[in-house]
Amino acid sequence: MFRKYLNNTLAAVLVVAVVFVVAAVSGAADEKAPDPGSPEFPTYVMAKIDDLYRGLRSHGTMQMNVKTRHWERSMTLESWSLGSDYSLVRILKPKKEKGSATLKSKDDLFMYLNKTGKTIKITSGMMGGSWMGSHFTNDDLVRHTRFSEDFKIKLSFQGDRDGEKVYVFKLIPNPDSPVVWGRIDVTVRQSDLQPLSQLFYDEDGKKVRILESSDHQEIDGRKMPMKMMMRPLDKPGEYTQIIWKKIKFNINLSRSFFTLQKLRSL
Amino acid sequence: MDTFRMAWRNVWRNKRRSVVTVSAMSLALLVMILYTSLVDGYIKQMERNLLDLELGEVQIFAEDYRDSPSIYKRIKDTQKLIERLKAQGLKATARLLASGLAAGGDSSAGVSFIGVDVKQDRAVSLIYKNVMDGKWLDPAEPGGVVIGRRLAKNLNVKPGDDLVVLSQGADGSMANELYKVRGILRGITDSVDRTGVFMTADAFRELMVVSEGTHQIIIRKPDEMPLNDALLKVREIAPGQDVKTWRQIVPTLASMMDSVQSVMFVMFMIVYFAIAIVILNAMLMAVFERIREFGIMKALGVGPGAVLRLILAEAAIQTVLAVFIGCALSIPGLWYLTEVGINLMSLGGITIHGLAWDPIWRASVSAQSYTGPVITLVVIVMLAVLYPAVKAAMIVPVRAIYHR
Amino acid sequence: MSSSSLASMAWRNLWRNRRRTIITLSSISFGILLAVLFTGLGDRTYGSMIDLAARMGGGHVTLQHPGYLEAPSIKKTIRDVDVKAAAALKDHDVTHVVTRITGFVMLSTASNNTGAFFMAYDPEMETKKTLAVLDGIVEGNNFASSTDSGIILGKSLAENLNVQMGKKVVYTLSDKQGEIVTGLARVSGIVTTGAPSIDSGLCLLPIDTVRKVLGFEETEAVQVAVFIDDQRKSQEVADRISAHFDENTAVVPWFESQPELSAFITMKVSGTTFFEIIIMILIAAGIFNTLFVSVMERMREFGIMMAIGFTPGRLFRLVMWESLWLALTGLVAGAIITAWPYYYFSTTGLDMSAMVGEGGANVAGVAMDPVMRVGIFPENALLICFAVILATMLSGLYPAFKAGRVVPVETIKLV
Repeated sequence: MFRKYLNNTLAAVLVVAVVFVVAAVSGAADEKAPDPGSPEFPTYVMAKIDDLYRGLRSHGTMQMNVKTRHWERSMTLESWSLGSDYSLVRILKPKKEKGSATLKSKDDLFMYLNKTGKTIKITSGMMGGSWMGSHFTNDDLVRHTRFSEDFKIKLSFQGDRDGEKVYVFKLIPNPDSPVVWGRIDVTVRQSDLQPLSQLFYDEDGKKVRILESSDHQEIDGRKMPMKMMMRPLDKPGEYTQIIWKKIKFNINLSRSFFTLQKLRSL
Repeated sequence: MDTFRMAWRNVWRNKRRSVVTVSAMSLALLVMILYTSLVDGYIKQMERNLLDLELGEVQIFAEDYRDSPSIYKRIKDTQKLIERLKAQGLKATARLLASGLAAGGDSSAGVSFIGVDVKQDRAVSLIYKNVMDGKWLDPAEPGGVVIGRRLAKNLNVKPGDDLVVLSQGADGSMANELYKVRGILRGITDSVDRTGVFMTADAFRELMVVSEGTHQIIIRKPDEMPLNDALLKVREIAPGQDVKTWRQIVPTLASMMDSVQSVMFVMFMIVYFAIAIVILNAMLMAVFERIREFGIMKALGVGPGAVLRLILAEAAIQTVLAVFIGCALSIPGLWYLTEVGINLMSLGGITIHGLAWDPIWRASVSAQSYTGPVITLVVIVMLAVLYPAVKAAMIVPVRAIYHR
Repeated sequence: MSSSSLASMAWRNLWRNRRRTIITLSSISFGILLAVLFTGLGDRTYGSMIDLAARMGGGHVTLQHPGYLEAPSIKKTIRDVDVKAAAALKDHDVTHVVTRITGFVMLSTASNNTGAFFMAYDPEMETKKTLAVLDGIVEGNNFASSTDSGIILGKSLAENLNVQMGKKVVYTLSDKQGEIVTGLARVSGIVTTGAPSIDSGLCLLPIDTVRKVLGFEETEAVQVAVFIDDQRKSQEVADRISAHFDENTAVVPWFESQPELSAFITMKVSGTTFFEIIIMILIAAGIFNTLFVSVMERMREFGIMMAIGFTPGRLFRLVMWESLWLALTGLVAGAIITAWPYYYFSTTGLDMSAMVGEGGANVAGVAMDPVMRVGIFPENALLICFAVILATMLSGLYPAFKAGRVVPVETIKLV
């Protein structure tokens, strides 16, 4: 059907792109944070990643660049989100697709097609399809596995990587969790616990894809990477890059915004 | 003695016996003619069913397309190729292929888009005749699509309804469009039934952003050209592309058809064999019941050779009569079988090996429908009459006269 | 003269001209041989196909939601399947009853994702008699229980997903509310059938695992498949068991749920019948010829018989007896020459794999065994006997009639 794009937790991706809750309020080390040496630390860090969007309300504009073997494209998207359960993403550019949008409302995913004015509900059969032509799948948006619950987490490395002090967590999915990966390596900056990369392995230990976050900035009291890049490692040269142009938090937004009517009327 | 005149008189002398014999022969011939053309018709129909719809005799694909289909693997300069094929007597049509999603009402399904040059396609594929409900594509209305019947059922759409499609264009853009369902196809192949969405080539190119090249070329050869010749010609015209005959593309289908042909042939032989027995029966009777007569002839001095010739001549005359009668009777029979045919069942269209079948069994008439049976009849008659004729010729007159 | 002596007279008449009688008997027996072999081939082949289709689909008779046939969907289920299955099993013609959940599923692995059709069943209740695919397991095993966490994939499907035994597969389904639900399974078996639609499109799951994922009740399922031992009784069994259920459960015999197979078989059977009719006509023609000639050459004899007191009626009956004897003897002769070929073809059969290919032909999604065997239904065999007798007797009517019409004075003049 669509190109085979690999699974990822888009919630963790798009979402991770926005904020990494640091003890940002105080800017100092979180008084609740356990010591890096303690056994609760890894779960704590992952839980923070899982809960990044709890209660978060945002509105922003991003640019998504996708490069595949056959084409290269750039799209400008406007996005609203409420936690990780609700989001509305609308295409602003290119003109041909302006107005098409994706609505995620809890576990339901809908797509509004500008040209035809029709709304399709994304069913299980379409989950493997790519989201808006990127290397993310529709399935990524609806996934609800949690790093802190569905994986066994171990702090596998602390130290220097590429000139930065990082923690590297090794995540192995629990035997019953519906996760296709064999292992995920999450690299996090020591100073502010900002995510730097997530490396996905299949069950045979082969590296399948990597998600890298960079250009971390502080906005409205939250620190987040403004740039993210997803690269499938079996297709060299291909990537999907997301660059946040503008984003605002704590705006006035409620669940009633995220409806099909809104999807169509924007 | 004038063998022929005597033979002729003998034939008419005993009307009843001749009538019975000639009737048996005529019936046999009639059956042979009808059955031959039915078998021919069956085999031709099978081929027609397979090749006329979407398969063709030879197909061209871009290299590696069949192993892993991709919208990017295209055949270039398609029109030029088609022109050169035409010059060699091969009719061709090109198709554009891609996959995507279609939604009608509140169900959606994975579909295969097939972009078709409507005019060019008519000469090659009979799919345009197989619209069950509604109409086929019209280049003047690129917004109309024709879909497979199972797909229509799954999406719950009928002609006149809207169909939304979604896919990814060749340039990466989100291809989405609203089409009107113009028609729904009969059962064609399993995949067309479940996933086929036919659209005009222009509509496809716009939807999928494919401005040049095509994915598949379907070629028909003239009946007389052997399949291998056609294959070589096409390979010559399209070097570097994946050129295969239909047998190579669907080998299980090819072997199934061959096996059906063998079965038909066996049945054919059996019918002929049964006919041979009937004739044999008739000939044996015809001679043996006249044993006394031949005995008297021999007693009167007619030599064995003459008796033999006489019997053969009578058989020949009867055969000629039978041929006339049989052929004459076959004309209305064949007319019926070719025009109306035998309706093997009243349901409409089924799939074997994934392909649709016309349930009406039609005969196919050609010169061979007559020449074969007639020659066979003559051969059978001559062989059948030989044994009793020789026996009669060798008879000892006294024995024969007392034969009862 | 008594009837029995008429009969024995007729018998003796037949054998007065041995050669002719033997030739006629050969034609009759040959015709019988052909008819029996062809009908037997059809009966067995189509019967097997139907049984196979039943084992690959929903049994000979399927219990399902009334709207399912028209538009299949996982939302259309039936409840209390245990009660329903028990009710069906009580019928004396029913051999097995199993419960299934079927539908479409999206399978994802680290490398790829693709859609497939799934069948969820109870491994403790089903064998290859009810689920033909189980015969094709080449790697791994059937599930240990209905709550197993394994998944069995068609070979090409596994290759597409780039997984081997033991590897993870995440499956995604839409439940009855249309919500998307997922489950994790590990590849516990690989299936090869040779039919591409199965090898690249089918996966098997344990039914209770799927029930849990979908949130079905314990006694809820998509279909109950009922198997019987004689597929020809499908309609009558369907009628009988539907008395147990209300309008919420549709009872669908195989030819309604698989109309294409049914159409194919009907077409083939018609073709064979047509062929048999041709054979019968030809044989009848031969017999007619024989009887007619034999009557004609005995005209003088009949004339004399009439002159000494035979009535036209008796002569008629005499010839009809001859005809009957021909038929009966022909049947016996036919039985004798058919015996060995039938035995051979019903046990060893004719191996057509050279022509059809190892996987067998594929008709309406059902593979045909490339070895063709015969197995005639008793009723059809009787029908053939009856047809032979009828054909022979009918052929004898005219000659017998002619015999009865003899005018003694005229015929005695014949030489």
